[in-house]
Amino acid sequence: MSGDDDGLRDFVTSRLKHLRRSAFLMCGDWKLATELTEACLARVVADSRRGAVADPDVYAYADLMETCRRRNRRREHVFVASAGAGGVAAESILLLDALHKLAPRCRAVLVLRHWDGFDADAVSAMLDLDDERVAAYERAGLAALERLLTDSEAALTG
Amino acid sequence: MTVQLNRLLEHVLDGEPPLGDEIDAVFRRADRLRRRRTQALIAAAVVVVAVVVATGYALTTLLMPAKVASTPVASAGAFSAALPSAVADPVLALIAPIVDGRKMHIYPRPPERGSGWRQYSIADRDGKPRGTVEVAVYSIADDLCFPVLAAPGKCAKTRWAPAGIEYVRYDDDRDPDWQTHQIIARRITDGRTVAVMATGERGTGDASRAKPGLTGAQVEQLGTDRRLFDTFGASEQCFAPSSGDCPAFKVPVPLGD
Repeated sequence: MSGDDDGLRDFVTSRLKHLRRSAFLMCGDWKLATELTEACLARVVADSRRGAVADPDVYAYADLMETCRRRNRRREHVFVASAGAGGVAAESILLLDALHKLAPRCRAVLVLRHWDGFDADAVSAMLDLDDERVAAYERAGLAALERLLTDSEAALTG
Repeated sequence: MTVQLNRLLEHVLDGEPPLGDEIDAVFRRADRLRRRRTQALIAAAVVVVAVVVATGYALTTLLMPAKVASTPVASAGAFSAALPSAVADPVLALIAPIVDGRKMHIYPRPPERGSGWRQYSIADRDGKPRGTVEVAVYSIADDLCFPVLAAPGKCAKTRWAPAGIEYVRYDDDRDPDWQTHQIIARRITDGRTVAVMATGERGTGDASRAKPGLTGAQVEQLGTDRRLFDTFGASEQCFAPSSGDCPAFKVPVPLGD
């Protein structure tokens, strides 16, 4: 694919939507997610043209997660619905809020493993973590998310 | 929780906005990114070149002396540091091959030159001094009375060399401390006259060291070489016989009144 614009266009077309969703789960803002995804894919295209990309998927997700992690270093509990979007279920808002209470790296592990469906090896390569750290982030993140959701639901019902 | 989380996240994306021209935007950004990188690369190269040039200039300025020190002139006592005979001096260029052939060195002897004269020192292969060679040129329009060494006031019978050169050779070893081989030669076509004298070391008390560095035959060969007459500048000449700035020859060149 490197240097082949048709191949690059196919890659961008097929990955843009997934990457933007992952970015949204990471940052909670569709506009920002779109911006970050465009910038990430532009880097993939530019670096692929000069033959510097071995695995575009790993490159793209690693770049996107690192960019989101840097932007969300301070854990901001912000969820911005898209303009003109219909009503968003209260459960979804609670989930996003709980997700954003997690540390960015922990959140990235959960998004990549449970939303994008990458295996632990791929996630460790994307986030530059060893397998044990990925497993630890995943266990801790799921437990924290479950607890947060339980607490939030209890608060809503109570 | 895994399956449940995935299902839950699907609902989170319910309000996803539709895609517009994001794909084209990605490629436009990629092109801008490439241009910026190229510009940055060129700028970095320019900076590197500028730094290299500036560093080179600074190092050159700092490390090289502002003024080249004057070339030291070999002194009479500095025989071990004798210069090679082949140097850019027309007179020396004629003498040097003769001296070099004897496995010796010849080099200018301070004061090494004046208008119409040159003087040189000779050293052997071990650097020991072997005397001097003095050469002077005169302009004598009228016929010349070549002196006789043993009979002052009389004219010597001249010998002839090719190219209309008449000459007389004088070899004098009567004084062990001042042994000389000398020649006076005159080109009759224009009156240009040269005197060449080879002298051994004086004041050493050693007769062998007092022997001139050139033999009488070599002095004769040099003095009758027609090229020697033209090695001096056209306006150069000694005015006084063995006096003033010109070398003192054992047999002075008579210049008349």
